[in-house]
Amino acid sequence: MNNFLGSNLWARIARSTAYAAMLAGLSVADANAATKHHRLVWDSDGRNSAVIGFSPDGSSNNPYVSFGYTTDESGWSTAGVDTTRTFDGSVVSHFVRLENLSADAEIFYRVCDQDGCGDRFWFRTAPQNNDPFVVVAGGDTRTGHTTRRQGNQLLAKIRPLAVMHGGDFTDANSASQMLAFLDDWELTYSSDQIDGYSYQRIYPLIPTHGNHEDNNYFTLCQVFGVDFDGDSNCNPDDTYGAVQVSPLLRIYTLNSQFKNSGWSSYASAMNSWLQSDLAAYGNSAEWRFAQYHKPMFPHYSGKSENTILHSWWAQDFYDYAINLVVESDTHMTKLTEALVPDGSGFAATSNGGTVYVGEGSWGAPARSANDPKSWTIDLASIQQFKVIQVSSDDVIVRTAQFNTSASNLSRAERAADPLVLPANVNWWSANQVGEAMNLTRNSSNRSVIGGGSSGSSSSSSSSGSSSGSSSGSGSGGQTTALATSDDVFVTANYTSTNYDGSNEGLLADGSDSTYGQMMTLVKFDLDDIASCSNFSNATLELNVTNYSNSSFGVYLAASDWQEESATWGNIGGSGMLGSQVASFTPSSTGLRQVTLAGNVIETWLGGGNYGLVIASLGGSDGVDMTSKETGTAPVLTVDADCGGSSSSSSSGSSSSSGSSSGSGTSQQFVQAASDDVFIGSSQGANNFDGSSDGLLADGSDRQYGELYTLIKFDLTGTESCSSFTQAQLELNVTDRSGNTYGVYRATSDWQEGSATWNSVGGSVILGSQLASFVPSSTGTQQIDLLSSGIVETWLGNNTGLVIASQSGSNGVDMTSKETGQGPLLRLQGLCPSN
Amino acid sequence: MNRWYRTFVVTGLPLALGVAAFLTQPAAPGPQPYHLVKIDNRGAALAPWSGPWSCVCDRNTGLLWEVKTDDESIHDGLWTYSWYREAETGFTTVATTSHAVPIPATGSENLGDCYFEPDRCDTADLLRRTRAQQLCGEHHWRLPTAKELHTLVYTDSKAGQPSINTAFFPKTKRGDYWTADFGKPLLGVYQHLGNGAEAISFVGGQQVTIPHRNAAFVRLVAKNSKSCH
Repeated sequence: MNNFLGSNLWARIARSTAYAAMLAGLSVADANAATKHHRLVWDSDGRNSAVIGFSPDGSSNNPYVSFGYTTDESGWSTAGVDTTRTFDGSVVSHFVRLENLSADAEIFYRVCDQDGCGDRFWFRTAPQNNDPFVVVAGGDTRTGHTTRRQGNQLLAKIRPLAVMHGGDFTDANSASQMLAFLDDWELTYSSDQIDGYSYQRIYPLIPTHGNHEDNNYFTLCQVFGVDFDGDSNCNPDDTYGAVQVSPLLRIYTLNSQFKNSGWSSYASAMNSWLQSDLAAYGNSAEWRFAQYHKPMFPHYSGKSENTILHSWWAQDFYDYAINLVVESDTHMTKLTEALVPDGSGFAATSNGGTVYVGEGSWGAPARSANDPKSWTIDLASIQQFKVIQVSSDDVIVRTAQFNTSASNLSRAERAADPLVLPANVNWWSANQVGEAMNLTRNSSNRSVIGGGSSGSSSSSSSSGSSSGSSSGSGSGGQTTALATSDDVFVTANYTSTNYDGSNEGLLADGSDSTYGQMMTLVKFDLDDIASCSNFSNATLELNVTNYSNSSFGVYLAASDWQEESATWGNIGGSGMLGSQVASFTPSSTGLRQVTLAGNVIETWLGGGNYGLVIASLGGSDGVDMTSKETGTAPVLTVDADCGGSSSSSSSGSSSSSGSSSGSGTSQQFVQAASDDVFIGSSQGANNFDGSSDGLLADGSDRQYGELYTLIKFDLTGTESCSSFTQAQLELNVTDRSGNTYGVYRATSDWQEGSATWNSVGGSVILGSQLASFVPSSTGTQQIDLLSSGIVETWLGNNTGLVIASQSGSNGVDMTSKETGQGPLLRLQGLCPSN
Repeated sequence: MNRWYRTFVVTGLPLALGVAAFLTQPAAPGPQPYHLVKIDNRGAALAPWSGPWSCVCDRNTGLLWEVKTDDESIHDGLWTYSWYREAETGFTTVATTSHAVPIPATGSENLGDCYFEPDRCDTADLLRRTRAQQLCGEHHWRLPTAKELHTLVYTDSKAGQPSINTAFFPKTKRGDYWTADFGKPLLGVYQHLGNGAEAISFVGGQQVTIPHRNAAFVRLVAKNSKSCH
């Protein structure tokens, strides 16, 4: 393997001197060298060497590189081509190896030939000290050009010090596909104006051999000019080696494809070298990374396990404190716990081990992330590469998803802060660890996940604290929602007619002109609470679609009935009314919650589950409700102590690492809006709290202009909950719209009694979008907010949400808490048992 | 034994037996029609050895199946999709009341990979485009149920091959194929994601519950199609 310093420095200087005369003869006016596909590679020491690669673009005779430490080209040196290699018969590449460069320096260069010098490039050598930096690591650019290009463009925005590529550059490893890859690689350049010149920053690549390079084990040296073993020859030994980036980091590149038949002697040589290099130079850096193509244990069931790789490397990785391993091939993302070899597999450890991340989806179509291991933290099918901040104290690993949302980092911003990351990168948030996985080292230099974060942006997870028990159950019991097993209405005018499944839903009235007196019968499945006790807070929830100002009673049914057969006649008419347990006035549409008095559940469990009857307490103004056949079915929620629930903690706890979690019970909450109001742009100073118009949102209204609805929920009682499995916003739509509406996080706090268009800054209040919906019919609209993670955000800073039109002027009207059924938030999460 | 009797015994009896044997002989066994039938892009049935075909009719189940391709069309077998059901403006049942609750969107949008959408891809994208295309003359394409998709599992496939009859279903991958079944709780490392949808793995035919955000393959199905009944 290469030593840190180059060997034939003096010969190179002599050759450079010869080219100096040519440089002096160059016209100041820019002519263009006939070269393209510029690339830069590190294969030995990032502090003082680099390989510049390029290909002729037409006729390019005797090309060479002119370079220096400033943009003043009069003082530049020159370096001739060291090697020229041809890939797949037609992709010709010239390589110029620069050595003895100054550390932590900006290197400016141009490729020149008989026509002059071409585009201006610059790169940075690695620091000589423990100054921090950012590297990018990914793999599998072989297909998916659109996303591959997005990834390349994102790389240019991030401005890393170097790039680790895990192999599978192309699909067929053919000349045409490699040319396309090199075309796309040009998108990784960052554009800079330096001293009045247009420069492109180019990033050193550390390439890996993947299985799609298996038809040519010379690919890395033919296309990228790597010479890992420093023998100036191009051969399969150039598919593995070490790069000393700085005193902070040493990167090992290995060839997993030597596991293939016929390559055993190469595998033996590689593995012997790895062990000796780790022993000799492993401690030359604070951190040690490794990259290779095939994962030891792919997280996709369609891929075979590569246990031979585990047998080759896992123990060495652990023994010599490899901190981070980047695998590719499977086209997804994964993060693991810190691992220690355990037989033919791994075991998670909190005492220091090796963290494995991957698995290569830099364009290649994502695959189903369906094979998690016991030591997997999280996995997902996304297009991504890793963005890794390396400093002396810690390494922070993030997963960047490919889209165009990220801001550009400027040259000045990077120069001012070697760890800064662009704003608005679409970071993947992993379960338990969030967007940033923070690695520190134990006394043996092995990785430990956790600890404080020193990197910029991102957030860590952890939970809140405080106390406060759940919403309704004062005894720490769990809330259970009971599903409707039977629901039907009966009418006095048609005593033998059964209305099960009627498209009119459920009806109750004192005197209807057609049906006469009507009653609704409802029965619930009690299986889920059969073994529970201490019932409390029994609440009946009904979805009202036609409101009434009359009062209705809720009664225990006096005898049994079945929905498919119940008629006014066979249930005995009003003789079905048992003791009354509630009364209510359904004065608005939407979900109505009716608290039931008495020991309803105990009565049913002890003496027969006959259900409830809803009947008018007088008057002829009926109420309509949805049945389980026509929409939202009636629901009965009840708090109870269910003794068996404690056993369920076995699945929830499991141990994992040192972060948060802990046991708890799954609890449901229904939170009514604490604040709701709309604001209008053409009445910017007016507050509309309690308006009879309810809640409005519109792209353009003649009276109010642009309209937003602001909603906030009081999350008291949920602060100590986590692992939410439901977060659903419910709105009661009274005037529908075919347009799409967005739900956004409010960027700043507000109060319903004072919020105006002006006070919230108009559209400034629109934060990140959480969801969208089309309120195409009246009634209850349910919007899933779970995947947005907004609940966790609110638990830290509850500014509520905003509903705004995404297009068009067809507004939506909703009831506010002052005009009817106000907005609801349904939550379910894991909460402490006491 | 007289002459006539002898003649009957020597010639007539064998002849009669021969005729009787011929008349009672079972019909020569012909090829049993295979239950999978290739269907071309317009919905016409093809002979087993013919092609190209865009769909396969399974006469055992009456289901018409999409056939995957390697042409970077919307039916390319490489494409993966997240599981996503768009909000429906209709009703949860056949009820006609104007107050019924619309079906909200479910799943994860645009987290799979194809080349035919400006964004990334989900199951709703493939459904929308395949219906519009009227593949094989059919526009009632949908995701199969797990039970339906499992009827295609062929457990005697060669090692390393997907568990399906690849002669009729080429370009099938060894991986998960989405079904319409959803709402199942996720377990283990996925538990924090709540519910997921069901998929059939054509590695071995197993049914798995995976997060909606997973990028899995899709094979659409149609029932009661004109070309498969």
